Amino acid sequence: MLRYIAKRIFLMIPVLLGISFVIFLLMYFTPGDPAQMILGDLATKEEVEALREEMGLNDSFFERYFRYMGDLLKGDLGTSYTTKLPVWDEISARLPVTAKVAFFVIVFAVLIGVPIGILSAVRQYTIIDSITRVMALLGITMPSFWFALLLVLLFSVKLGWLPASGLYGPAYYVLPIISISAASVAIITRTARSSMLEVIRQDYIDTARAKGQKERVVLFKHALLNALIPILTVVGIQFAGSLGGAVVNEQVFAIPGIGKLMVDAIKARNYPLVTGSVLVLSLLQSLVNLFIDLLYAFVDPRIRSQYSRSKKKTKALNGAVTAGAGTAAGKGE
Amino acid sequence: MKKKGTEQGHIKKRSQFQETWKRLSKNRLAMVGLAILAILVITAIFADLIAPYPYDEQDYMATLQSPSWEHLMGTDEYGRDIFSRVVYGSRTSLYVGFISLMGGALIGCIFGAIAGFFGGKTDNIIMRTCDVLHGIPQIVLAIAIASTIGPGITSALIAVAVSSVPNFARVVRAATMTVRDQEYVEASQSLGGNNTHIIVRHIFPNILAPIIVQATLGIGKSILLCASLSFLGLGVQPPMPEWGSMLSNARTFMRDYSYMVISPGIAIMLTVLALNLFGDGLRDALDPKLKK
Amino acid sequence: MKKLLVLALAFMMLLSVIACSNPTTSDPTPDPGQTNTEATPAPTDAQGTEETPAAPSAVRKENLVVALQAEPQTIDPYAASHDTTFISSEAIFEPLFKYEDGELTPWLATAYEMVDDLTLKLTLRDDVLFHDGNKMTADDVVFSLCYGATSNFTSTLFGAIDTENTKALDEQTVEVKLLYPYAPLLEAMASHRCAIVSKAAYESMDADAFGRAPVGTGPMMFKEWVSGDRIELTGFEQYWGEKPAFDNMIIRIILEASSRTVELETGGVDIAFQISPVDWSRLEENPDTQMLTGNSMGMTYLCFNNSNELYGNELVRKAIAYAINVEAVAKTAYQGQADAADGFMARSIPGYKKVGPWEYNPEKSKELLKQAGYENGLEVKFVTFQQQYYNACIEVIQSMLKEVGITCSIEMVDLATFTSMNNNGELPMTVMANSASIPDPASALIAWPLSRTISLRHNDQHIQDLLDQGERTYAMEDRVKIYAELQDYLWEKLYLLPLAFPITGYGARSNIQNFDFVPTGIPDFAAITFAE
Repeated sequence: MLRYIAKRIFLMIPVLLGISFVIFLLMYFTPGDPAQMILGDLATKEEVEALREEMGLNDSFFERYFRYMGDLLKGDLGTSYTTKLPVWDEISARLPVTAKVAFFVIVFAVLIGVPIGILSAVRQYTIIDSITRVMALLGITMPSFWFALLLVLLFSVKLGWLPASGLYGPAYYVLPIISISAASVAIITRTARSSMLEVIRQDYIDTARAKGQKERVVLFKHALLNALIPILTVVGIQFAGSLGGAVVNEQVFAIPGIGKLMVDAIKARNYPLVTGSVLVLSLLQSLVNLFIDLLYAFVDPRIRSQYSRSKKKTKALNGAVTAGAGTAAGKGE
Repeated sequence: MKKKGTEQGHIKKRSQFQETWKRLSKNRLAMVGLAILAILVITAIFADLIAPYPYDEQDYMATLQSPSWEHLMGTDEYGRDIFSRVVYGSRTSLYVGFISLMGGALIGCIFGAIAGFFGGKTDNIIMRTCDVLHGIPQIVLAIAIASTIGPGITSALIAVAVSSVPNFARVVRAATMTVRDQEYVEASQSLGGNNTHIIVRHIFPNILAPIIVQATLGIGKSILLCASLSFLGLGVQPPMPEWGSMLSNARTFMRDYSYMVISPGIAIMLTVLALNLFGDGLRDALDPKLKK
Repeated sequence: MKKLLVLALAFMMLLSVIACSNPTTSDPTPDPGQTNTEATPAPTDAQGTEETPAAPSAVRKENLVVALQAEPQTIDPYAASHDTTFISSEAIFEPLFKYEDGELTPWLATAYEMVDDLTLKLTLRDDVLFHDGNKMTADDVVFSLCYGATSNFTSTLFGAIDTENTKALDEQTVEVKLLYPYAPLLEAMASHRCAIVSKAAYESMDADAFGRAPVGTGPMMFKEWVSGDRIELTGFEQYWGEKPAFDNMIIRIILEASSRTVELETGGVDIAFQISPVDWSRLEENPDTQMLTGNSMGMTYLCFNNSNELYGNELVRKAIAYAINVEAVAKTAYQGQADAADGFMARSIPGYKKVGPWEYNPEKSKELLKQAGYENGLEVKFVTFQQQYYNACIEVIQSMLKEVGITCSIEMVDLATFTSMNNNGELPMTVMANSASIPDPASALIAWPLSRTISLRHNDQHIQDLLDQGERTYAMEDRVKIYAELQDYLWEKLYLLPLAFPITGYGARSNIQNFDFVPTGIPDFAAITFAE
């Protein structure tokens, strides 16, 4: 198992390298001049040129890329063009905010989504089921900023119960979490419902029932455990997605998260900050995925045994799992 | 894509298609979804005939008017008829949704099928590339593309398409791998059929189901993503009407002129809802496990 | 059990990545309780409950919370040209003079004497301390003025200062030497663009660090900058003048216009900038809030790139102008919160002359097009970036031009690309605005000097001559005549078409007093008092 983890972490390296390269390439071909952005409209051509030289922007693409990668190996993510602060400082000021929000969002989404999904599955074709399905669809179909603005108007302006923006205490988290998690709740509910439905139909559930076990035991011990894999997959995808920062919600709720940081960095052609934050986020998302994969093994002994066997099988299995969940994979934003 | 599947002409395929349709038509919600979609497509095609005004006709005497018989959904801050814009907007939104998805699906499917079919190194390279694409946040991609070719419908299209590639590739790869070892594929291989032939002829028709399901659900997602991009100023550019940008431009007027956000909002929700209902129905209908 | 261990290990790993990204907090778990303690300076605490009467008559508040529309890149007023910087730096720095009721009054300088056309003698206060405890001396003032004269962002205002010969005569006296006679000098020294910075502090840090932790003489001193969230200032104990009625000033960054309005309504902030015009009446009607509005010193205009063959043609420019209903553009694009521009600078600027607005006459437009050889229609292109009002203007203009047979496409690029294109002269036609930094015609006409005409590219020496003349003449009545001639000339040439004089404003809670609208958009925060 430890070998498996080591292998997975090792496999992240080429992916991260690829990401850094693609981002670098994208930024290289994007028009707009960071030096010009720093100096403003009134700078002369010579001043801009001098700054470009100083920043090393006149070097070739590969020179710049390898210089960046060299620094990266030394653990240096570079310096932000706009603030002249180390990129790592910039990211570390924002990442905890995003991570915290993403964490609460996923906890909230699981706590709401899974029980409702199960209930809906157990009471298939009842009113509860219909309401759940409609609500879940609403959660998926609503443009998120629309929902966010509606929440603010209702709870902050009309009722005055909750603060409208910022993150200065527990009460401040309520609206952003509800708003950001709407889609996740819906997707988790749907996945929980459909995978529960599938499991309930299986023979061993009938067997368990026939053995006279209590319905609750049947549901939670036998059914839920087996329905857990697709749910976990979706939870992982949603968590990784919300780590990327819900830019739109960050804007509405004035949350100083990483999504906003990235958008601003691109707009200012702040290349080191863009590359740095994308890399850090990707690493984090890869770790989340790894963690979810390990959870599979924890939940399902069959998968556990496969880790020790051939790599191909594991990947086939991962693929199959993703395929099942992929259709339900949510909108990240 | 659906057409391609039926064109295969295998009798077996045809009957499967018919059976799927039979099951699908029993699903009332899916049929509702299909009906809404049909209406939307008709609206988009005949927008010129349906819309009472051109989408960019401004009337400074009639800005911010509440819904009336003259302007069914009111007018916006430029005095443009919102109903006409919603009608024309169906074109843009469906166009963005379908084209971006088609692009993403096509590329994703090809690479997914190749990865799944050949396995080994090819598989590894393609899937790692997908991981790379997946690792680049959608918004970053969109902004980078938009800055390069300018914000607008094309960059939104490309961004949505590119970011949907990994998902398709994964779904198709997994599906291909399960089909690959089936007897008929092996048979064809032993008969000396070349690989492209096998992929197109045998594997593709059999992995169509997950692709279609993924696509129907994906169109809704890309319409919503497009709305998010509009919010950040990267969506469709004026005066072209698109529901997402109508919605995000109207957000400052939301509190006094709520009708301005209601109609494009409902249009988006209805479309995504219809696509989801239909996609869900299709998944159920195609899933042999649910046959009973 | 071993698997559990591995799992726990992996989870720890995940958390540690999240946690080690935040060196300031030791607690690795994202614990909701922790956010509570982090938030001790919670801006909402300002509301009501914390009022402690310090002076017998005045109401004191702990925090004054201000909502800003974007995060400033720096708080060094010499290193930026955005309002966000000046709003953040206003209470930290002080100018040499201030305007009170239209009168130039001493501030950090107690007296001045215009020795000759090129020499100004300033006498300074001797009781002023910087936030780092050092005494303000003539050296600091010389340093600040020279910094202003050489900085890219302020050389338009202070560039006339001769940096080599401006010197301190003694600790309290500065002799400012000019390269050429410069009429707006005192006006510039009395504006928020003039900030006396601590030479010692500036030289001990590098320029960028100073911009993130500035040291001035103002009533508030810099405390903390939480990236993307807020900038905190706190009262300066040894301030020489009257201390403000609040202990801390918290500048929150709230990008979304509707969120700023909501925060103001719900009392989350005391003052909010850049309120969307649709929300003005709501804030005026609400008994808890007020809107402070007035004419800004800005002008929005249709900018032609005159180096472009097409727009270099006066007939084409005028044909386009006749096709535009300026009144309708101003009203529609600004939702009623703008006047149709009838001159080349805002009305409050001395020397303003009413020359317009340009006549709306589609027939004449068609005629001119015909004369210019475009009777079969003309295709033009706007290049613009994401800016609500500019885009609104362009959308309206686009539909007006259609009426006279001018097809008009809009290319939207992002700001960085726009800046590049602008600097390389690649913009065809666009809508932009400029705003005077100080109420002086030289500052209001900043788009025109040949050395700075990046967007217009007019290449007209006559304009430059009149501008120089106006800038170098001290007597106001003579200046007015020169600028009148200039404005008539500009109207005749129409290198740009003035579109709108926007009305701007900011919202405040009703209990905020002694806080007025200022045309510069940078109000005096320290003077604020609170109602009972």
